[in-house]
Amino acid sequence: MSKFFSRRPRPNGPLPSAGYFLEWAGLLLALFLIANIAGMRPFTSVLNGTVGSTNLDWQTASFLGAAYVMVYLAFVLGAPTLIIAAGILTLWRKLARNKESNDEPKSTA
Amino acid sequence: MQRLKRIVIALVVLAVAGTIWIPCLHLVYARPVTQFRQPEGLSPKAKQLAGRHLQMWTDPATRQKELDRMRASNAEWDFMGRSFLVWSLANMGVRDPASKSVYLKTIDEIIDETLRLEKEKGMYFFLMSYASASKYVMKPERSLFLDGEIALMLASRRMLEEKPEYKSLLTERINIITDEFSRSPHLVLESYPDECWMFDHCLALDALKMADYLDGSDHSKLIRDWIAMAKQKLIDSQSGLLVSSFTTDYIPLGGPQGSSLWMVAHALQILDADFARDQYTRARRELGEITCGFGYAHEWPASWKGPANIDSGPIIPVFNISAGSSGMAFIGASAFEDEPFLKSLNSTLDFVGFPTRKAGGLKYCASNQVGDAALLYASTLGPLWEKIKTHDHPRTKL
Repeated sequence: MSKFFSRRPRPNGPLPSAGYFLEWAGLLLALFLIANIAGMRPFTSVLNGTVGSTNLDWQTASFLGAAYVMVYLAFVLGAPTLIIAAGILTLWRKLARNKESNDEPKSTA
Repeated sequence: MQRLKRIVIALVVLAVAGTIWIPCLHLVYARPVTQFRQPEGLSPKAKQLAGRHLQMWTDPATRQKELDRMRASNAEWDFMGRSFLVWSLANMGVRDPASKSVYLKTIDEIIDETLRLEKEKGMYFFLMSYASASKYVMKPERSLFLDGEIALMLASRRMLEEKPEYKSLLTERINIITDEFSRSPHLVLESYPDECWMFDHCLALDALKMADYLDGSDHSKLIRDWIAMAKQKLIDSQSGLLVSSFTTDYIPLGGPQGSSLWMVAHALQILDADFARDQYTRARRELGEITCGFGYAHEWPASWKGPANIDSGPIIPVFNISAGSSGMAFIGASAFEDEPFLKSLNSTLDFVGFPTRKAGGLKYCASNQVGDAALLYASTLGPLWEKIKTHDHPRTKL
């Protein structure tokens, strides 16, 4: 995470960039789509103790099921949270900018 | 320093965003309860779940693939998947008379194949492997699990429409069960060697009740005596819930388990309605939970500690969510018309059940055929029980 932050141009002021959050949300969406395209969803039957496929051994099938569940939860819980966080930051930045411009000394000329 | 400040702010903002999102998440999955179960006719979900099961019974390759997956974990599930599907289709036939012939055809196929497999491969084919590791106390060895559910399948089919060939098969199975009860010193019968199950007893007694309805027999004394015995000997003193499994000497084996109890409460509805309601109310209080709009169930009450097993499914820590108990909770909530709980369970199902739809059929990837059949039963149950409750002994009244 810190590496990710340090690679980007530093945002102005003390607030992190909302764009970071949107990029992470995009990454979670991409992972979720890949897991679906890869056909990992049926392996979630591990949740009830049923093997996802009789062609794979129990450990591999369980791993694929657990991995899908993690990616899904990361997407469903994480992506909207990141998007809301991006919205909060954008709003915060806007309010901070308005405050700054209001605080600037006005010309009396 | 500036960078550290940015990270701290980012984490705080994420925490605030999470606090906003998580309580709202259930709204994405919340649907009216009529999407799952309707008082009359079939709900959209029941139609889709049934569609997939009917496809399976017309496509032997798909069915075999699904059965192989389940049998790799538990041979019982193969059998129970059949039972739940037959009971569901019998209820669906009453709810949807236009498709009755399709349902009857599938019911007969399932019953005939199940009886054939039982005859050819023996009762152990549908039991977990440990059944053959020790000796049954009563001889000849029989499993109430099989006898009770087969009897209930035959009776349910005949409740929908009479089939003369099944009348003698039902009578034969009922006679076996009553004969076993009369020989049992403690009025309990084994499903596995010296292992008796509340679930199996209640369903077997339901079959007796249905046989009384269909054929004018009278097993009311046996049913009364058995319930009196269960209230006296098979109640967990802490929770007031029926224990799920016990030895032939009434020694509890697994405590009150949600994966059994929800169905037990439903099965009791036609045996002793007040006792059934009492058990559901207790199970709902001790086992059922709704958190942030999502419903789920524990396998055991707080007063009982037990390890995860094949019935409970994996237990999700922190919340102690049992997949087995949560799935069966649909049956309890539906049977007792507990709409808030049913709606919240349905939200959870769509959230973490991983539904997939194909050719008009619906399956839950996190479930299996028996799980989906139990859900189908929860979405269709009612009509057969209603017939029993409102018309005692129609034959004797004629």
